Amino acid sequence: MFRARVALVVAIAAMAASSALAAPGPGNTGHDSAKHAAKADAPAATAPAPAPAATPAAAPAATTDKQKKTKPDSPGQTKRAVQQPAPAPATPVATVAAVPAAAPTVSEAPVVPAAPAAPTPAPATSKPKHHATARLVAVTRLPAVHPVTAVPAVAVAPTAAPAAPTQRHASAPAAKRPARHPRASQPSLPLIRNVEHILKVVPGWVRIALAALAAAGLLLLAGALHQALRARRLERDRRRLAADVGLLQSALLPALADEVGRARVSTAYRPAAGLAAGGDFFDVFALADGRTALILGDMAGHGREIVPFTALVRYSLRAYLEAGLAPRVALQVASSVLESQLGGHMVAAAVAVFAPDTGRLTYACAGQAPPLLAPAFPPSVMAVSSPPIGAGAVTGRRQTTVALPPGSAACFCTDGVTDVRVADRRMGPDAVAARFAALGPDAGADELLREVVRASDSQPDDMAVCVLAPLPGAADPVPEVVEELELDAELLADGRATRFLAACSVESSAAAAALLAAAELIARRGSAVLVVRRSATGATVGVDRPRAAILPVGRHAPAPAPAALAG
Amino acid sequence: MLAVSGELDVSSVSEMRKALETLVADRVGGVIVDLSEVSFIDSLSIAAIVAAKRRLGEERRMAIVADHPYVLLIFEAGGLDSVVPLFATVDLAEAHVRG
Repeated sequence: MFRARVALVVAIAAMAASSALAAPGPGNTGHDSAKHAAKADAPAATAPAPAPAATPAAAPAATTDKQKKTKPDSPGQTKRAVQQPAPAPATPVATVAAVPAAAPTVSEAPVVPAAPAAPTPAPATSKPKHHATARLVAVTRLPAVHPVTAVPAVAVAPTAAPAAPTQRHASAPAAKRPARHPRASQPSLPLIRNVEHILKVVPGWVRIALAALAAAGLLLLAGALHQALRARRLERDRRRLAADVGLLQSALLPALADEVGRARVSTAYRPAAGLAAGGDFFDVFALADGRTALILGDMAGHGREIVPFTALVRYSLRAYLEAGLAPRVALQVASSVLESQLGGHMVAAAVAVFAPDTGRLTYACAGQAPPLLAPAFPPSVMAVSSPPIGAGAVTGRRQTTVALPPGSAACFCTDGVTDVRVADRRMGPDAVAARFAALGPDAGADELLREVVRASDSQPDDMAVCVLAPLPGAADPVPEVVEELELDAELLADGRATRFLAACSVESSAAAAALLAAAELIARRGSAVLVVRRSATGATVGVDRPRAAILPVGRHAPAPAPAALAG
Repeated sequence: MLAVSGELDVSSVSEMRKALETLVADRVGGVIVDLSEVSFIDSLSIAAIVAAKRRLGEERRMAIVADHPYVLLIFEAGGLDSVVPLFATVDLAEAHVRG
């Protein structure tokens, strides 16, 4: 603080000197300082050497002082600094010199507090050149008298000297200014000049706001570009995914020919929601001996994580059927082989083989409802149905063979079809069967699915439909249904075998005899097969040995005649 | 014993699965799933019951109580009565579970 104040004094002195030089006005104001002016000539002349170094130092100091003067206590201090020389008895000139010095300073650099400290600013400007030097001498002496200002003593002398050079610097721009004007007035585009003018008058904050707006615009543009690129990438990914899903779907739900072997085939699929990749699957293919095989299934659940398991079941079943296994045996083998590979998943499946030469359809279901048959068929025997594959229980115990004459059709569908919601209930297999029969023998899977969807309020599950019908010219068998159940000691003991025979309308005495024979066979071979033939004339039951699991390809003969035990 | 009511489908299966898992984890002697107030059960819910039954192991038994015709049809057609025994009343089911 102190040093800054001193620097101000020095700067004031220097400016006063320069202003005095610049204004060699008329006569004096009556101060006696003029007398001493001549004496000061010598020191002033010796000073120039260190001057250049001192001047730059003084100028910034003065600036800082100006800033500091805004503080409340600054004016008082300044006043003291300026006034201190005044009482000095030996240097009355110095007082005069310092005081008027403030005047030009005030005008050139608005050091407001300095103004009140200068009671007579005007006279200083009218002083001749030698007055300035006199003042300098006086200032130089000041330190000696007042220890307070002793520090600047060294600086003052050199600083005062550059008064002239400073003035020259000050006047230099002034001299240049006239020269610059012609350049400025050189012919330039009015538009550019207007823009320049506008730029000059535009306030700083507006410029900042405009810059911010421009930056925001650029950011938005970049964001839009990024979004556009991202959207294109997503669309590409989506198409690729859809293609992948389509590939997966074709593996589980293949597009089929209208005729497979000597059967007319139609399929339909309707996913519950979203891309079709879920638990439903079907396949219809011709076996080597001209028969037509059909697989339809439903894995509990949806989503891509179950697709591998679904595919495993579907292709395993197909392989077993192509190897010549009967539908029931195919399911049994699949269950025992795949149980540990399904990751705890449960699969319902129906497997069927249509033999055109006999006109009979043999099917087996595991956790899957039996096919709907049209026109009217006797109701299927549901008792002791086989559980799904992967349920931890033996499956593939039941098998049914029905006559499928020309003009009839079998419809296999997943539970999503029968479980559609109608009001507060489910449609149920009977209602779906009635609709299927009403559509007529030529109806395809698509028509049935459309009809079911139309007649229901909501379809919460995937729906798959497979319709198989004999082509004209297939055999026209006598209407007969053959129901089979493979028994083991457990089924024999817990009454399920009895229940099955009762459901097949087998007379109780015949049933008892059959169960006795079965028990004997089980005791010897571990299992036995109950075979019930149902026709218009009644039901007969026989006991058969279990079929060999593996049959030669293409030599899948019809079931050997069971040993008739009852009648 | 776990008693449920209404329709058991994809919207309720996770809740039921959790309830069954809690029961199985509680080291109870056996589990009875009472579906007498249930009018429909889908394959996912059945799978949940079957999974719980398998986790119970051989020592602990499970039984299902059901009397709604549609539920009985689903269990019968699906061959599930050979996986988990079905009973008409809770008393019969309890007798089975207690051995």
